[in-house]
Amino acid sequence: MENKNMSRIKSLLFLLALAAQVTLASATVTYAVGSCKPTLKSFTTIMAALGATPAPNVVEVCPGTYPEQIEITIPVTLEGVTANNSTQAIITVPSGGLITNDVQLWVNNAGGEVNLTNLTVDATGYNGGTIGVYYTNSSGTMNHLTVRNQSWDGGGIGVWLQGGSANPSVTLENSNVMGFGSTGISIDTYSDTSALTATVKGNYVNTAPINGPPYPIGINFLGGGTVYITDNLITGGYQGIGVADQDLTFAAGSVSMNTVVNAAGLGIGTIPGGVSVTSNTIYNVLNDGDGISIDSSVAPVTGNTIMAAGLGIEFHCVAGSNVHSNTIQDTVDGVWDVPLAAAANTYYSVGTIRGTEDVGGCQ
Amino acid sequence: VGQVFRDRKYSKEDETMSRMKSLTLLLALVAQVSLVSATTTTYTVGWCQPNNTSFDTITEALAATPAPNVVQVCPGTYNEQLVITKPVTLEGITVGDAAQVIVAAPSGGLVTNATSDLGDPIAAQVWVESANGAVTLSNLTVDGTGNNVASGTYIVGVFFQDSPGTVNRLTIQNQNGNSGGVGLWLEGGSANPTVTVENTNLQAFDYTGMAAETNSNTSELTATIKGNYLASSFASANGIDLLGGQTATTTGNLITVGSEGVVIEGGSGAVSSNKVLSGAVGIALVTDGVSVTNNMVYNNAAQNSFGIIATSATAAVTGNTIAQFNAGISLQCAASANVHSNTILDAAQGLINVPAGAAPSNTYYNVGTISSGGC
Repeated sequence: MENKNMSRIKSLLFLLALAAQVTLASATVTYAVGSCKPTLKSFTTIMAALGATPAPNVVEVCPGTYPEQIEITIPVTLEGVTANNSTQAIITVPSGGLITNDVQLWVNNAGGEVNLTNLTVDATGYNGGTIGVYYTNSSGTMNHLTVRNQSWDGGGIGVWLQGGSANPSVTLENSNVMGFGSTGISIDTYSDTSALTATVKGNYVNTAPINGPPYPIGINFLGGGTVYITDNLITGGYQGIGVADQDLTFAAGSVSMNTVVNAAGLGIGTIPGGVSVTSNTIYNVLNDGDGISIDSSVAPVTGNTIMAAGLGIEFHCVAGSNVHSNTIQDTVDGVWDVPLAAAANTYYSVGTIRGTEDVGGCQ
Repeated sequence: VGQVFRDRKYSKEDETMSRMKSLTLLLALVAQVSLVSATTTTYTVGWCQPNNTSFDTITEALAATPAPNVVQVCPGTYNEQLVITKPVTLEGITVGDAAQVIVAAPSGGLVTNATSDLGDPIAAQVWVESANGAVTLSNLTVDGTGNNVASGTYIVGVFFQDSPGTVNRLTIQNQNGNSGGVGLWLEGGSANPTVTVENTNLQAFDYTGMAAETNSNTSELTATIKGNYLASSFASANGIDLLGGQTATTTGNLITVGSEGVVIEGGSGAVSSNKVLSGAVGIALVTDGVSVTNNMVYNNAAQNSFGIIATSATAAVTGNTIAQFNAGISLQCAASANVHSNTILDAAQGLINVPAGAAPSNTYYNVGTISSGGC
């Protein structure tokens, strides 16, 4: 009887040990980069931490400058931490330049969530095409990033979000994207269905106003996904927000409550039928540019305020009753190439409410 | 005597009739009084409303007898300097496809026509001078192009002086040329007026977009400045200057300027929920009576700059988001625990000039040096 009991106890202990091992295996593996976290296993480079075994769940990056090209292929949280009165981890271009590709931080088919927090990705001084942060076919959240100075010879993208077969969900929020050459935030998948869900909210996107090539765009959605672009502040560039399909790919979602200031040519330009444009504020479009240019007859374009521009809303003889309840103030022309009866918008200090490029307009 | 007698012999019927007549007379009188006080005198400027009494100029309409309650201005350009001394509503109207009434400088430019209570000479395009009732301005463009004003005199688009009222949906632009261009100037006084400025677009001023002040140690002006848009690329231009002698609620404005977004030199009130893009300082609080909360302050130029200057030991500076400045908040060796719950993102320095021992609780991302003293 005693032996039997002993055997049972042994079995129980074995089971408990197994359970403990399983628990241990699911424990979070956290590494540090730099020397500010002496209790953690630490590495001198971010790539070394990401490549270590066991694979990390969290990599905490001490304040400092890290001249590295980073590729992330596993689910992980990469975050800058506060130490010694500083909270600035800066990823810069290595002295030899970007070698393997044009990307500073590439999240590549990670197979799970990759979260980036409190990091600066800076391409200052690099004379070559650059993408600051590139998500391909990977889910995750970017929060409180600074991505800057991806600009060279008319190119350069701050953050590029691209979907794929995993149909990922990506959120970019509370981040600064500045000094880009071509596009601040680019979103696309080459797909006829939605292969990406992107939420871009509460970001500050700015570059110098440029009324010509390369026609910088603050946030540009090219199709192949569902986007929620909301509550961003976008300044400068040629165009604040662009929504354009590429070869009839899928496009859905909304552009709402954004503020676009000091664009050199166009506030918001949109083509596909599926993306609504509502409750945005477009202020001070330079060079007598347009507030909103819309090529859809169905997507709601409502509740927007366009203040100080050459033209309020361009209908392209396509948009119609889907465009209403907008307020247009201080423009040379209110609406242009309107195919139907006058749209029900509100006008203040507008030279000509309904303008038309050609005699006969859209007839 | 006989007459009196005869009168006393009124029959009951006559008496009733007389009472009815009196009542009718009274009613008629009351009706007349009502008619007089309820009638709105509306004039038109321009000839787009042929059924109304119309004038060629706004000045003529304002001066006509009886004094107008409402002056409606047809689309067009009016080269006038306006002085409004009575309560009135002056509004641009839409006719067909035209919705733009422009009050422009007369040929030859503006003349100096007013003086502030600080003694400053002012060439005001629209001067609301000690009106003893509400003056409402709406849907007008006041354009300072061609003002031809020499330096030493402020060029002011709209000057509200010791008058209550509302400014709504105005465009005030191009008050520039001598570094003294002011879009809108609100000044209080003995009438202790209340003024609201909303949904108004101020552009291309070279001194300040909006100023509010009274030359007084107490508040003699209550101003609500909300939902306005201010833009100027002049490197010297400030957005809103609150100079003192006012109680101002400044909220929900969008400001993009070359120099300082909001400057608070005196008075009381609140600066909240504004979006500020500035080339130098986002919000400069150089007094201790105005709270600064929940604003979003961004730098739009790569240069040494401050998000918020907080020279206040008590006025709350909280809940603001500050990005892309050289320094997030300067505590000026004065502020401490009243500055908290702000988010500072992407700054070389988070807090500077922090008094010894002070440790305000804010949130920092991508900040090189979080806190430094030097006091």
